[in-house]
Amino acid sequence: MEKKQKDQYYSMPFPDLVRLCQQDDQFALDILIKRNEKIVYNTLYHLDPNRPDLSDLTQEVLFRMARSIKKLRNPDTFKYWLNQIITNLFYDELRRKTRRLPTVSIDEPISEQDYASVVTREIPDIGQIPEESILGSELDEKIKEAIQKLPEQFRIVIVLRELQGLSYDEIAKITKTSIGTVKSRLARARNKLQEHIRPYLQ
Amino acid sequence: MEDHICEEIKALIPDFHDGEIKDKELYDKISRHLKVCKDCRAELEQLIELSKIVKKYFNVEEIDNSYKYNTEFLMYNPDEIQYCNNVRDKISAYIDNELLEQDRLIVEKHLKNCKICYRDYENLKLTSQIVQKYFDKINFSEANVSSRVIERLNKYKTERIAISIAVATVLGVALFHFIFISNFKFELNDKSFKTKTGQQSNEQNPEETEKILPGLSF
Ligand SMILES: [Zn+2]
Ligand SMILES: [Zn+2]
Repeated sequence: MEKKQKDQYYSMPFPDLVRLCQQDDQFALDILIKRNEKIVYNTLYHLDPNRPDLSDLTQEVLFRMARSIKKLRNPDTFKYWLNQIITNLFYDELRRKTRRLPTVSIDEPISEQDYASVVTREIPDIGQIPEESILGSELDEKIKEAIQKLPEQFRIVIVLRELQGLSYDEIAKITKTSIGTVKSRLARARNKLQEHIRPYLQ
Repeated sequence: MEDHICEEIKALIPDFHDGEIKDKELYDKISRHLKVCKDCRAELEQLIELSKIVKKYFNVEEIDNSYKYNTEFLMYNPDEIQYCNNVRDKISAYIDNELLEQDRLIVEKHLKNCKICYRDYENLKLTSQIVQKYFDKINFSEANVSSRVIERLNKYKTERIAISIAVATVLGVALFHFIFISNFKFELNDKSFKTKTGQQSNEQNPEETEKILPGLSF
């Protein structure tokens, strides 16, 4: 295939790429998978970071996507549709195998131990400005931890919004709640994350 | 005496920087002090510098370039304070442009007039951007995922075709059976009807059925 056309496939909006896939364009399918593998992995990783088989699950999602791509009637809803596949797999497969934590309020620490690790964490000395890279990776760790500490229903909302960029309406449908619930969960989750990031912004 | 005030103010500067001082009198006290005290201003500026480094690391754009941490900007606007609680709940959805038009206008107007909520807005937006950048940096280094998925898909399609052929065959056979067996049952029914008045049971005799079936086999 011409290099020019290849490049086109890499920059083409997803709905257009999906339409080509629906016409049995094998190359388009290859690119569609390649362009989504990272975000699918990333989503699964943040929904359940402790699973050892995230690569397999990523492959499973992409397979389900490829298998039923022709059934997607409105290609403009591709992103929403893909996230339905991800969350369905998450609910079907992941939760069956993991011990369910009791539902906790976002304002309570998940366990005593977690709480202790939060309050005893050192706040960087603002007298000296740390090296950018050290600060950055430290902050990455901090954000990762903060996301993992969020109760599941808040974590899903953060992932679907900040990582996947879905609308409130789409998130409400996927999580089977109302838009109002999505709104308040997202606001509370963000405030919670802000608390964790704050020491680094001071 | 002056040192004592500075200590008190310095302790409050992180909260002040984050827009977390909600008490108007205290807020004004800090603002007034910052205007006259070079030392405390330096402390605030250090925080601002650090915040800039974080923003630069995450490649987050400044929300409003004209925004400067001057004391005038940070002054309260008493007329707007009554709306603060109402607006604060909506800031997150405002960032996502998910508010109804009328709510959006209310929030927009308030943010122009209330410096405290504006700081809340800026902090929350920064948090959102930092989280997005964090997600962006996660790597997935598995090779050949696409070719494996496509291989699996092709295998699946081949299997499906094989299954379809098998199903079609079974259906064909079943249909064939159905036609002949129903004919046979009619015969049987006729037979039992004829013998109804006799001693024979109405139930089909399995042995008899077997005797006839081999003739139907194909
Ligand atoms: Zn001072
Ligand atoms: Zn306000």
